[in-house]
Amino acid sequence: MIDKLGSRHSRLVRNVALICAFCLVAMTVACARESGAPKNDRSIAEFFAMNTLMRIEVRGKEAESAIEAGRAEIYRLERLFSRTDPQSEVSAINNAAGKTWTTVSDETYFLIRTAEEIRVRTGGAFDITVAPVMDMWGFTDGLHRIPGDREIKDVLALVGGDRIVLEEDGNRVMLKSAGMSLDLGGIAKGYAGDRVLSILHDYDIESALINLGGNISTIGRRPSGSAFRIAIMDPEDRSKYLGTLAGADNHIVTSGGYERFFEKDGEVYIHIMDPQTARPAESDLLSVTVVGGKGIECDILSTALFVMGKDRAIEYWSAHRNFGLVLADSTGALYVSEDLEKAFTPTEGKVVTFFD
Amino acid sequence: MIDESSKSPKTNVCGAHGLKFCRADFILIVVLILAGLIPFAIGGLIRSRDGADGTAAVLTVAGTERFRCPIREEMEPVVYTAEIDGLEITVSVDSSGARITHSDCPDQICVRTGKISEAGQSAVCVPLRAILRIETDGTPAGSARVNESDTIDAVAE
Amino acid sequence: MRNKTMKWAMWSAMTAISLALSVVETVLIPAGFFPVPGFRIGFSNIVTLISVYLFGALPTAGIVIMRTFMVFAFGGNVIAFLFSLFGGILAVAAMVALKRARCFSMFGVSAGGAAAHSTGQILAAAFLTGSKALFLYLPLLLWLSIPAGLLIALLSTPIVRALEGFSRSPRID
Repeated sequence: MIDKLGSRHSRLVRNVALICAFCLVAMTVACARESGAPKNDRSIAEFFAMNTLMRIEVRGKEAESAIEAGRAEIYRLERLFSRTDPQSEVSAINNAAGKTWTTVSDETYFLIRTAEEIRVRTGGAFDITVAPVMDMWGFTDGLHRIPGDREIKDVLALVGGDRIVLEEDGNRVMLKSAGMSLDLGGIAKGYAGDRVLSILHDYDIESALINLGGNISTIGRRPSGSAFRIAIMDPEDRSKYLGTLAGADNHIVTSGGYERFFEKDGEVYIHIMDPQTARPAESDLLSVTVVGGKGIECDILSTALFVMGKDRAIEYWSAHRNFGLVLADSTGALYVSEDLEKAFTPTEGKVVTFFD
Repeated sequence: MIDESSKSPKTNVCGAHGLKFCRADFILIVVLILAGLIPFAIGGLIRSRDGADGTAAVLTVAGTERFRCPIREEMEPVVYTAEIDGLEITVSVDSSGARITHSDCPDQICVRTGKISEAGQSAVCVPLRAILRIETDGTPAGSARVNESDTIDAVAE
Repeated sequence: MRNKTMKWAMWSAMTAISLALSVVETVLIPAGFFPVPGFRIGFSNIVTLISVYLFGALPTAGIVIMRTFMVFAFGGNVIAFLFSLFGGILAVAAMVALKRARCFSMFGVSAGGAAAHSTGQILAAAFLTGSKALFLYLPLLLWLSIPAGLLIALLSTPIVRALEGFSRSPRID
């Protein structure tokens, strides 16, 4: 009896020991997994910079410091590129127009060179020297007016990226004639998106949603694991959307005449200027959305393709294909590049044509 | 009745070592389900002020809502900073409530208000025209959340 | 002497197993898996239930208290510790009482224990936060704990069957 009991006990003890060993292993694995995923913080900052409202929302171990770094970067870029800040490098270039060279930082030089490259590629649809035209139409100070033909002819002499002289050695920039003026406003936000994204990556941020005055950039996914959903504003009704895009570690930039415009005698004058005519762009599009990996390019292209109009925009996309495109024409129809077929969900009732 | 079942070894074996579900178990479960109703009966007498309702911390500045964060039992702490004419106000929200942790205002009354957690409570910063308040949205804590696929994170414009 | 050593070995093993089950459950079924805050199936209750049958009241209480404390030591928070401690003790008390009634099967004992666990948690939460509204949350938790308790019993019966010869031989408690 005792022997039988003893052997039964020893087998039991052995089994229990085995179970314990298994449990220990399981627990070690479990604990390792637990400690490998420390509690994340979520942090949000909303602030005004570059004349617009910016919002950065971040999830990660160092969410707060990451946001502060991103924000400081935006302020730094603003001081570099602002046309209204007399201390900025852009102001220095403008003040020296027609007179002398200005030595600028690598970043300012990079921005001007990138803008120039895309200006050439888009046949002059985007031009950072369009600032005097903006001034003339009153979009800079808000005192809107319609200039005469003579005025327009005169101002055209001050517009043209081909009249920016760049010297790679020493980062030197000069505007050929006095009165010319650079405005990096249509490009600084896009570049800021690139910089903020890169800074957040440095902080190992796993999820971020960045809204720089309507330019959206994302990292990762929502806390729930689903993709960020970015709506594209309906140019005809600001309370509605054309559709939504799934954010996927990229930049989404929309340009449209609906953003800023003025009306006079029943006529609408939009803020996007055609550098060729020095008049508001007469586009058959209401809005252009560019999705891509480089914020600076998205920012420039959204404006350039708007000016170019539907057919030329699609042509440009076919020739390059390294970005996604959503076009809304004046009939309300949508034209979407085929690479966005999965990411784009149109609002019900919208007519969508995918092109390739 | 209960003894009967425990005595008949052929059917359900009940009692201290019974391993099969028996009638007494069934009765016990019915009793437990009914016992679950007792709080409802008493509940009518108790004013539900928190817990049962979905609560949220809401920051408004000059009348417009700038930030809304639901307060849940299990949530990550959220820190939100808003800028108002160059001045900053920081709000932090966690499962136990919300507070203004920083404000660039001169009097600091809002920061000194401390943590608020009950619906209707608020912390106010007069110089910045900012109000942090706790709101209930009336949805029960256990109810399904808003269909997530319908929500939008940002608008490109 | 041998039996005494055996007893302690068994109790310690049971504590280890229940701790492991608890931790593994936390990892496999993370908080928020069920849309009901605070609800867990409580796989470690398999150990509690078996212990009530094999060792009786006091050793089981010891195992539960040790487990709760160790979960806390493995990175829990104080509030959760107090909740589960109170819930756990109440659950053991309920299980022992139901077992001693000698008319319930393991299923009844387990379901009753689970229900007591939920009630204990809510009581502790209400006591700590002073919020009476928490009681309105009790029914949901209580009802959910019944199927969870039955599941635990279902998982435990084969184990108890296998150990039956052992437990029926000269009692070790």
